[in-house]
Amino acid sequence: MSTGRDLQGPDLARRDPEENIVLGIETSCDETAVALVAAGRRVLCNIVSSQVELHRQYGGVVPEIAARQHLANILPVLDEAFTRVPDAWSRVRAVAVTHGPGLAGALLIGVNAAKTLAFSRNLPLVGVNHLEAHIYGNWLYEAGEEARSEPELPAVALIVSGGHTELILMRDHGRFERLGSTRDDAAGEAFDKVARIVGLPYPGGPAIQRAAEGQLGSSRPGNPQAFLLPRAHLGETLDFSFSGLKTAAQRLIQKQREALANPTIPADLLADLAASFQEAVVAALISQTLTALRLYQPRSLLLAGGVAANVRLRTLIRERSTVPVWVPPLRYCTDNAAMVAGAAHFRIQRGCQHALDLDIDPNLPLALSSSEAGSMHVIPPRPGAMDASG
Amino acid sequence: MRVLAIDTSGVLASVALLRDGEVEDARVWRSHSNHTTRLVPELQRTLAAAGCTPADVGAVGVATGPGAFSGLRVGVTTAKLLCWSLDIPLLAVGSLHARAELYQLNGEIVSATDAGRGEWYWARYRRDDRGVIELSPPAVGSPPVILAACNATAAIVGESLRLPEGFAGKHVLLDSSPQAGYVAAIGVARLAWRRWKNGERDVPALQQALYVRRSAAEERKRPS
Repeated sequence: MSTGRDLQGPDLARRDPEENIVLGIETSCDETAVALVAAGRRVLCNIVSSQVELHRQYGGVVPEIAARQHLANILPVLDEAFTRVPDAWSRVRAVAVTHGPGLAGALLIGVNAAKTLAFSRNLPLVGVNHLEAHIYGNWLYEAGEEARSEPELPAVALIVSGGHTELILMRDHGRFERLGSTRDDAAGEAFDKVARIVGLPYPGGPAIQRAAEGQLGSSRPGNPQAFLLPRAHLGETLDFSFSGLKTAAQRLIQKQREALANPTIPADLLADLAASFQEAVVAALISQTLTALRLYQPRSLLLAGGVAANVRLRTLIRERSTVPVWVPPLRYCTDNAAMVAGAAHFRIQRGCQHALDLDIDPNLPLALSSSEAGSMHVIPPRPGAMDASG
Repeated sequence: MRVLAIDTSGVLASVALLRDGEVEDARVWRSHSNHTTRLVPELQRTLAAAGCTPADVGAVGVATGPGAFSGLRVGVTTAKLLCWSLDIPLLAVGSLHARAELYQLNGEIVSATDAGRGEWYWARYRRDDRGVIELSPPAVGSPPVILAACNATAAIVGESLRLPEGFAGKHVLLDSSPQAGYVAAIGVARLAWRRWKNGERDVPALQQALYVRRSAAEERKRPS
């Protein structure tokens, strides 16, 4: 059986890529996920057990229920993975796990599972940052596919989900800088809240998109210009804010309701409200992303996170980006463990692994290389930049 | 046959290794409500001290609860994954039962632990020729109600428990903390060993923690 010392970069590079399988585990929110990934890219299996149905009745993820469900799901999900790739154990070279950021009680299940596997099978343990993992979703391809071309670095990454809205500069593998993040709600959270107000189910993102596209009984697609919703102006930063937009949407919906005799919003009006709200969220995301592209001149733009599944966001960002745009397939946008195994592969190549006292960190920052830590958060003045698409 | 036992149900966490029913090694530490950093390293040290590897473990015993939710999940996750990874049997044991098992007492034992919100998790046990057996399953309740419901001569066992006013003197209160020489994981290991000898096995994939209480969100949503 291999030990941690077998895994340093040069050794890894010499191996047959198929012999370099990383077992990935992800339990940071409400998906219990396990994956086997060869050479950081080729996904042999990607098993995700979603708890979305369980949390729907509460309108969002309930941390204690999520933790209980992870404990119940973890072995069935592992079993499924190793049933699909029966000879995998002999080729697994490391166990990787998301150790933050995320829900504490949920992270605990994955981290303790990974540690126990690393200990009992004498394999190296690699803790991975959830946001870093999302970025590496862009390197993944399926076992049946040809190897894909890969994003050129440096890259700017936009990570948008129910829990995160982050702009990250990836100078190189392992060299990340956070350029901006949300000051209040995550973009996905704003979708969830507005969906709840208009009576659409959780998760809100897909529901709002369907309503905006005219798929929820309306006679036409929603008009994104039907209602003007405010854009947050956050000075000379690349941060985001969605709470003002959410409140404005809430007021608008209330006003529209008061004008109705019936408490149910007619399908055409719902389509317009959904399209206008979606447009405002997408515009905010794109405006800051385009500014980041202008300031940092990267060679690629990477999208990641569940909200990257939004068709309007994908379409507009592809139209307006000045550099090639990478968007993972939907199954690697939402939370999954293949991206965790993928990110771990690049960490291992840099000689990173963790001891068995690895802890969870619900607020884990994306690691900075020390040489760059001093220079981040400083954004040069750029007159008028905030008006770009606002 | 070695049984590796885990208890992360209390403020003090412990692990124990039993070989054919005899304690080979046991470790206890103050968890500071963070079991994640220490549990696997302590298991590693325990096996190393006994000169063996994970492959030498024949079964895993774990205290499933009641206790602090996150602590329980750390122990149960680790136990489940050890059994799955090594393909060995899992033996689930109640955390209150494991503490009652540590005492050579005749008569009724009330094993309890602080449940927060002014309540105790508690269960009743009695030792007979088979060992300590459960008289009533773990439940949660207020201490005066619990004490009024149990035998007046019952011995109360529990880490750092204080008897409510009016009950002092009526019951024997015994400290089950390691300072008194007791390591809960040893109780877990003995009960697990007994269950293993009786041919009992639990299914790792199906093993849950014994929470007793529902989550706060569920209680708000569906009051019982």
